[in-house]
Amino acid sequence: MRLLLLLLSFISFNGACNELKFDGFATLSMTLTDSENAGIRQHITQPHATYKDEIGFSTSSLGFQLEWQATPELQFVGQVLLKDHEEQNIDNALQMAFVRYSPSANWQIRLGRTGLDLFMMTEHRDIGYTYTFDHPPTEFYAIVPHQNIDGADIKYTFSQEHGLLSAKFFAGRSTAPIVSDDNFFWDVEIKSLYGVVLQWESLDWTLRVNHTITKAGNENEQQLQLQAALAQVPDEVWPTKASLLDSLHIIGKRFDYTAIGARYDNNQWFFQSEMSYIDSNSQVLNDLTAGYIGVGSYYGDHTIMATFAQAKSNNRTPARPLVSTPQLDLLYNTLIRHTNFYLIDQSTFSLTLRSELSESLAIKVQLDHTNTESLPSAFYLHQGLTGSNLDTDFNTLGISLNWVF
Amino acid sequence: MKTQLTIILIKLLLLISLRAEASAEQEIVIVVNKNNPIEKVTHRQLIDMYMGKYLAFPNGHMAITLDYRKEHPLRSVFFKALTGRSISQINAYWSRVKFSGKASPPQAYPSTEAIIDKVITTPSAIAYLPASAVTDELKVVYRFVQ
Repeated sequence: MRLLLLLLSFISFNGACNELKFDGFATLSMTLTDSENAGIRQHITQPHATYKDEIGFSTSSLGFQLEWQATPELQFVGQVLLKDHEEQNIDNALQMAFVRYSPSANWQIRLGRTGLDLFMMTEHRDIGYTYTFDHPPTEFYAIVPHQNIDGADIKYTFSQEHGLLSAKFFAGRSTAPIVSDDNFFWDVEIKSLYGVVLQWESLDWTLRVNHTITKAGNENEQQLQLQAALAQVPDEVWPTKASLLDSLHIIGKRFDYTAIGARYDNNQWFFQSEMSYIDSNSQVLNDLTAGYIGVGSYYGDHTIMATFAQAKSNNRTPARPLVSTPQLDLLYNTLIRHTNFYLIDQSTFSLTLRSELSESLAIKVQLDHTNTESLPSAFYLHQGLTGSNLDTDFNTLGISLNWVF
Repeated sequence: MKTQLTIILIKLLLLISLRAEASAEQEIVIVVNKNNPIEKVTHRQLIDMYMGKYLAFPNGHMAITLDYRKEHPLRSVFFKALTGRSISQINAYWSRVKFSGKASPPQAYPSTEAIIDKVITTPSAIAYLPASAVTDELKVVYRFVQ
């Protein structure tokens, strides 16, 4: 990665100007909500959220991309993305830095840090101008923190009579943060990441299927402390201790992602839908099923869209110890905050209006109505959870200006 | 004062509509270097090439697509004729492809003359031009039906 950075910086000073391309994108986003307990954010990586009677700007972003065409077959691409992060550093900001080699129209090989081709919009989820939604559906996109991969991919495209069929294989590793309540921060490392994407596309249609397998590479300090405390409890007092200890031991656990997606756009109306299944041999995330469907129509420079998104996990709250003491109760409550982190059961209905203000500037307004059966939720940050009546139905208004330049 | 403003507004609207009409009536052709062995391309192959999906001529040789800079009026007419989509939709599509790191947009040039010069000197280039600008050193491989 350092070598690639050096190479890109060298290119930026020595490349011929007509072969260098410099582009950028920006999203200025405003969030309003009537949610009292769930702090609205668009992604599990975001350290700031918006509550009732607040105005949030933390989902805004700014990015730049540099491309250099070294030869007709060889390109260098670098992209920097600035957004709300718990830790602002070069590694977090560097979204892409790779070499792209295309020896023929059929083959493409990329080496370096590339976008993670997990779902349809994962690679460009922070670039609001590129899609109609004000933000990618929370139920589907908020849960996976990883957005890029350090490794390589190879893609073969086959031209058929009515469209293009492509197969892509990627391998590498990835690191991304998860932020939650009470200063929980975990820079999640995924090692042994392998994925395959099959896609068929014509002008109007895109159909794709993805299967990605990963293994967790590190653990959080709080999880380690919890394991140490739990290990002290006698088996007779907490019969399920062994399985709980195993579920807290994340390193080497398998997390597999399977997704199918379809998009149709005939220039008058469109729909886009994806379904995903996340499977793991860790009790922290047994499995999660999520999906969404969005249907929209174009009216000149305006686009109207309705979206329904849903996510549900099958996680179960662990059994309590057989004995109740203040220490054991505290340990249990701390434990279920970890094991219930992915306890998700919610849906959102959204209405979106996108208007083109110019050929490179769009304004989007989106109203979300969310119903959740489970709070706290991994999707949000929280406040006031000690009350008896949690606010599980809430509305969110998002307004954003989206620009590419 | 009010009458003058109305006249200026009507003139402005007439000017805009005449310009749009002129652009719409302009016949656009697809050209390649005259030494390129291909004789024609299909509409779908053009879409694949200009949308960055599959950069190859029908004989399988790699193609270098040339485009105009964003502000050039021919660009929106061409993409409308090619895909039926507005230039805003095309820009959103290319932003998606480009910022995902999947492909790069065609190299952009400021004028028809610059495009012609590049096609003449690049055997694998393909470009679009007003039909009236075609010279003997170019080969027309596709015409958009009016």
